[in-house]
Amino acid sequence: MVKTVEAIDLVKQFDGLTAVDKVNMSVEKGELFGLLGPNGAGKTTTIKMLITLLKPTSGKALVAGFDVLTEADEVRRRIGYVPQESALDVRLTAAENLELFAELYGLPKSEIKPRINEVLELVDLDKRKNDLVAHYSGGMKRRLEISRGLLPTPQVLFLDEPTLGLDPQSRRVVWEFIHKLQKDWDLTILTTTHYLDEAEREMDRVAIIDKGTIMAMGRPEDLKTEFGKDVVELVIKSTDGGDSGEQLKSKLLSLELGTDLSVSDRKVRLGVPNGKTALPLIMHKIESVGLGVESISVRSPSLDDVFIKYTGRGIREDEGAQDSEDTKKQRAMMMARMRRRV
Amino acid sequence: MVLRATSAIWKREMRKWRRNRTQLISSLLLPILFLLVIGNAYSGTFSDIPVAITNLDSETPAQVFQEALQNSTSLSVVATNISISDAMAMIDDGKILGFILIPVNFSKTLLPLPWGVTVSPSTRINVTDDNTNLMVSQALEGLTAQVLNETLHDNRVASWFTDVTHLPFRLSELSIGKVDRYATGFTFIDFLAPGILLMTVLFTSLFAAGMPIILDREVGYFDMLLSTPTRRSDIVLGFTLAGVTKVIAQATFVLVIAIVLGIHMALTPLSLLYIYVLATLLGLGFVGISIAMSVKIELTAVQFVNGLINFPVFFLSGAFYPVESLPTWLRTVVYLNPMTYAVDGLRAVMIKGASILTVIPDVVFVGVFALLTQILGNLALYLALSGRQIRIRHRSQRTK
Ligand SMILES: Nc1ncnc2c1ncn2[C@@H]1O[C@H](COP(=O)(O)OP(=O)(O)OP(=O)(O)O)[C@@H](O)[C@H]1O
Ligand SMILES: [Mg+2]
Repeated sequence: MVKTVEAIDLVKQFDGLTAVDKVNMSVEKGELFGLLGPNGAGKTTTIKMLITLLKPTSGKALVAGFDVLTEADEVRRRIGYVPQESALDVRLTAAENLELFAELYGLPKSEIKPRINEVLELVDLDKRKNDLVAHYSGGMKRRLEISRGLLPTPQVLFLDEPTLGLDPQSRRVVWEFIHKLQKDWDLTILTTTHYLDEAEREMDRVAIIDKGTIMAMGRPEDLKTEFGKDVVELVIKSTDGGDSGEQLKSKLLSLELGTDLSVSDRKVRLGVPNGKTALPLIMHKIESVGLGVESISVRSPSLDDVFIKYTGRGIREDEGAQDSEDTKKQRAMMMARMRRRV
Repeated sequence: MVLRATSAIWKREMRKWRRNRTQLISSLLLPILFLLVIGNAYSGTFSDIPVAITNLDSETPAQVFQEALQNSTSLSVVATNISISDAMAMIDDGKILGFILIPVNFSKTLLPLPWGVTVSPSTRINVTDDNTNLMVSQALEGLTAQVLNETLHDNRVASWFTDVTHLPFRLSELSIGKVDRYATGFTFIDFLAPGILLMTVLFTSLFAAGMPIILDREVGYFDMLLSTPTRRSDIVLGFTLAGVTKVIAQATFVLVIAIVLGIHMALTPLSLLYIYVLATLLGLGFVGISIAMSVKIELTAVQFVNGLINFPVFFLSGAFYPVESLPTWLRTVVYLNPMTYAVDGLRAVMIKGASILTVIPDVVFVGVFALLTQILGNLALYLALSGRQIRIRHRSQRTK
């Protein structure tokens, strides 16, 4: 297997804050690899080091066989980049936006026009190429940015949160294009997301990253199997609510109900080899220590369970808190954009 | 082509600039407003200054004097022969800006003894003015003296003198002959035009060069530029050239407006060339400063910091207030200010039609300034780009 991207003990510190902590990973040729992690996990920082925008504090990284530190120019010649934040000139047309980058990527003059048409066709925007980007929808803008990343015919495409802020339908469309690219161009794609469902559904391999550290890496199916066969979720009756979360957890742990037990409020989650047979035993054990069970269910594990296992909390818990944060940021971006228009 | 990236960035900036109508129009309107409003407002002449006159002297010279005051277009006499206390009240109320009192024996001071009286404080014309309104106050004093001078040359005064004394009227006067060195008909707007042209250069270069860089930095566009295999210096040069192009376009616009407004100007090919050389050099200088600042400064602080530079550079250059009106400690600033030399040189060539040779020192000073700030600006941006220390803001959300 050819390693198209390889990071070895990659570290990035920002004035004392370690954003990326000894990351080791490799992406194989033709693979669609995803970094999965909550906000602030270090996904973008990792990508920026790989595309030579940030100097690693220590460690080493190779992209398409070239060292990002010592052979930055060679790396830049072989990559396409779609940043997390939309970076388009809204007052320019799609074609004009691409034209600038065709020049910056140094495409031969005669190839610029056909190439722009080609990549726009690929993302279904060829008919709108002379429209101002200001009149584009969020999904169209994202597709335009992906097509821009394809201009230099890259060996590796870096996609930072390609679907962030899009509605479910546009998200699907974007992923369809990404899969098409991967297949038709034999493109290696390194992407990031904090949507678990996307990681599970769309990616060949994922790395779970939290607080700058890679906690687990592998194919989504493998990670889930590794977690255990089934997930049991139950809610403890509140009548026995004298116990604090910690006390409840240690009480339950002592019962040896299953693996990877986690407690949040009165909700308990754990892994068992076979849910159906385990249920009566679990009920019995819990009742034997004087606790009541309000509800109980069994399901197959998801990446969310894997995520909780490695990070001790759900990615969605972050997301809930992040939503308002995102809205705030979105507003800030809008403001910046409005000022830009003036 | 070697500079493909540079010209691509230049082209992008030009497109963005052309399509930003609001910004374009307001940046064109500003110099017009300045020329029209300030150029006409402080033209150095006044009209209709509201005053009151009280004449206690019934002799001819006093009457002629009063008449001349009343006929003066600079004054508007709103009350006559009121008491001093009423006049003071009117000044306090803001109804008049000055009160001119002609005392009883004013005319008699013109006569030799034994017919007349000697000049004393009680026989002098007395102008009380609202000296909080400095310019008007000074103008009133000058005006009164001028009208008095005209009065003394009036035939009626001479015949009155002869009637009373039976002597020929011989006014001993010391007068200064004033000769205009340059074509007559100069107004304040002519004096101001070179300054306004350079002010436009100053404002444009500070705003139009650094602003796009700051915006690109803050929305993460720079990351996109830098992820391409482009030489960093080519990117920097693209932004600099775009800034200078905007400056030249703006200067041209002001020049056209000045011609349309009929402002005095020497319009030989050589003087035009000189105007452009100076404007471009000054522009380059402030483009350099603007780019150097764009590496660090926040979008929200731009206007403020630009104001901090614009204001002293413009007002301490002689573009608007004469250098001679400033206290010595401020003059030092004026002599270090590149704008001073640009204004001086431009004024000499544009209005006086001076030979280019005489203004070479001005060009050299502005040129050195441009060179230094260009080195500073390009180096700062280049280092920030290649050291990848340009502030990359952490944002986790894109807008739709
Ligand atoms: N230029 C910077 N200066 C200082 N701190 C930074 C900088 N860039 C990122 N960080 C910090 O590094 C950490 C990781 O940030 P990063 O952008 O890599 O996260 P992320 O996983 O991409 O998150 P998100 O999902 O929100 O995009 C965060 O704590 C962030 O605040
Ligand atoms: Mg990110």
